[in-house]
Amino acid sequence: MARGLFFSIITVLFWALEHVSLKVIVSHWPIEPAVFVCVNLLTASLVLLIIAGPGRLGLETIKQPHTWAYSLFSVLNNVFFVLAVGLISAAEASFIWRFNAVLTMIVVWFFIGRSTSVYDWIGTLIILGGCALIAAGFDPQIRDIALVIVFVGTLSMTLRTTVTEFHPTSNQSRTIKEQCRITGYVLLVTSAAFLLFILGMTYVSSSLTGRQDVFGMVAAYMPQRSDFFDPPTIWSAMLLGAFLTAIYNYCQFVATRTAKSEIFIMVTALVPFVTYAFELIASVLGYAPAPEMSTRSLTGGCLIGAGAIFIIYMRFHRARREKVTRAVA
Amino acid sequence: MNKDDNIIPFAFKRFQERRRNDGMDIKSPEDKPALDIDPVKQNFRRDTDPIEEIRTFTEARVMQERSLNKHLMEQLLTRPEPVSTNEHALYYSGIALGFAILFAFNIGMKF
Repeated sequence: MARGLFFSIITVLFWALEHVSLKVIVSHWPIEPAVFVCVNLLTASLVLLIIAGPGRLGLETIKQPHTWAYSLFSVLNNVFFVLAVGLISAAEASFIWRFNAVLTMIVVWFFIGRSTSVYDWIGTLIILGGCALIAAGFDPQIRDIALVIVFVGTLSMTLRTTVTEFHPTSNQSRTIKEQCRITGYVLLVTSAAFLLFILGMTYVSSSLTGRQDVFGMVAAYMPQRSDFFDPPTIWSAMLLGAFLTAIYNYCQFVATRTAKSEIFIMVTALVPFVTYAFELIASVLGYAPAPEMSTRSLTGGCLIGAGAIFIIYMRFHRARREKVTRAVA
Repeated sequence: MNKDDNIIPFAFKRFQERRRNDGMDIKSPEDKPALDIDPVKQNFRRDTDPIEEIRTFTEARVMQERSLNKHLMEQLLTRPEPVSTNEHALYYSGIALGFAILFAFNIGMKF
């Protein structure tokens, strides 16, 4: 469990570092999020594949339905996050996306049948309270649609993490190179699927722009053709993909395998706080504007963070107690 | 056998007399005072428990075997494996596809 926790923390650090780097880049040049995500994943997959080299488990990874499910849920998660950011602030979206911790607890308990303790549920209730507090602050006109978007997006993220944990070839990997190869192939498939999706949506949205219905709203968030050739978007995505995304995706695969989904998701609930701390450092150094957060978001975020830390602490405490009991017996 | 028949005390007595005539005083071993040796002070007692010694030795051997096994397992895992042609084809076509997309984005910037 300690190893899984270590890799989860590394994932959180690199994830937050990528968010802050993105903020620094956005404060200087406007970038297109969908194209950024696509090129970012593609570069990360190439870096991991080059490190790994050709070898076993490549073909099996491509053939696994888990790989394609991961891609589908990744695309859904990214699309719904972009949609959510269109309705609510990025900080609110970042915090309320931690609703996936609640969904993960339900999925691992109800569908996977893993044992949970009363402390897990107390922590989950605290997280749910934090999410409810943030949701209460939404504009009543968009609240319903925003909540549906948050639910589908977080469900996609939960299922993606669960699929990662049960990915057969990832669990068969024995060396670092094999894990890099598997992660690289999964990300390659994901980026290719995402590229096809946004190319299709760009083609469709060109005829939907200007409409006053939900299709028009979605079309407004889709990239234009010129966005695919935007130098800041492409180059920043390549840079961050090579140095940050590749590392945290590798760590994510190892962490979900060793620490299990729920612990990984609980640790990632701390991403907004680590991002906030890095943003403060970046603003002090003069690279980015000072982070802004409403009192409601901050309070809700604190509740979510407290719930996640409570669950991690109680799990760790229980694991240590069981270890001591076994040693005494 | 009579005590007086024992030739060794008699011979020793003669030997002693002769040496005394030469100016040397030889004492029989029985007359010498015993050495005052405390076995505890002289550290004649074993410092370690023999069972503990055996356990330490066994643990050392187990650790040695484990490290050897680990080394062999690493060798086994990192041995060059024959990679199938399909794996090679998939790998290089994946890399080529990825770089082609990235180059397409970069080349597209010029137009």
